[in-house]
Amino acid sequence: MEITIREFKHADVVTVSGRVDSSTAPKLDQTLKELMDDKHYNIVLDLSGVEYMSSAGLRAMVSCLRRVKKGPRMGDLRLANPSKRVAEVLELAGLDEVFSVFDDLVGAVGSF
Amino acid sequence: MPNEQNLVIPGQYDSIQQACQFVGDAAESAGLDSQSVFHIQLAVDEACANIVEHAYEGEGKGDIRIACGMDDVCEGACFYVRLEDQGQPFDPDMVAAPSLATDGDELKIGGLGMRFMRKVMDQIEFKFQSGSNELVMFKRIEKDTLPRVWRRPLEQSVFLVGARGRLDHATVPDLETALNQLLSDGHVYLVVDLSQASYINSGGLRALVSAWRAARKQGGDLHLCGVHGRLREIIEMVGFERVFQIHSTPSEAANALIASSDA
Repeated sequence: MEITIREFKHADVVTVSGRVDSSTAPKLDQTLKELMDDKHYNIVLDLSGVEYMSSAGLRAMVSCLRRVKKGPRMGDLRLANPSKRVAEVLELAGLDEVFSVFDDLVGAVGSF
Repeated sequence: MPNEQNLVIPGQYDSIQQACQFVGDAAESAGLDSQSVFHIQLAVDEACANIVEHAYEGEGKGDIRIACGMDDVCEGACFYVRLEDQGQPFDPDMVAAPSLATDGDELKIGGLGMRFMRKVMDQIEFKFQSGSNELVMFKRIEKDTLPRVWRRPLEQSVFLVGARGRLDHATVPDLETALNQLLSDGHVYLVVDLSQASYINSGGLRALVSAWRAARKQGGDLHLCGVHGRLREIIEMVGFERVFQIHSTPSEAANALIASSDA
């Protein structure tokens, strides 16, 4: 799994690629925590390169969502470009209604 | 089960992907569609992560034994996966059901793996006996939706052709077509997986020999795998075990072909 972060004016884009499972999710969790520690609460997770995600990845995303929503700036974690498989996993978990999901990155960043 | 495959992995998170790959290969070899293969891999991933976290309560405490295969006993057909560990008794049903309420602190997401397993598999059985947890998961497959003959790339330049059920006048033309198409596309390293086959007639044997000849003529080879039971009797009766190299699994056959092509 690879993670890169790009800062934009209204939101940060965290691009994840590869497999997000029980062995790699702690790294995603850590990355998101560090962003929030730096008071970045508007986050877009670009999932276009994620080939596989298990519940461990969802757990990291949910704990981030919980914290940015609680934060003083009323932030959000929005998702862009989930593959068919990742979208199915979100749906299986009932999280497709919990997260704002965008078909493209521009739309997700522009929504902030 | 004649076609059961086995793997042991250490109970640690970075080994689980190996288990997913293993069951995925087995399910694909059995001719399952990609959606079902994905579901089975997801269920195995979640089950293994649960074993490490809850049964062993940490990494490096013990192994996970994995067995999988097709079970024709149930209505239609089933692909099953059996997982065993020596951790403390752990009933997946005892993991709290996930609660996804979004209001602040209430956003908890435990038990999600179990929810996935229940949703993507058709049946889950659990028991603890003589020091082992045993979890068996079944994925039901409509027999009609399973192809009788299928092919897929195996490794590097090696292709697999699989066949299910009786290889007789109804199925042999499909087998011939699959083999001929691969050969005419220049794929000369072939593995014919017979683990799902129950019978082969003389036409089927001829198809195998003529594809084997054509492959060798073009500098390649054709090996067999998964030859069991009645099929092995037939193959030995006609002396084909002296013609074909026979392996137990597709990956063993692929490795042998790759080794022979390097030589």
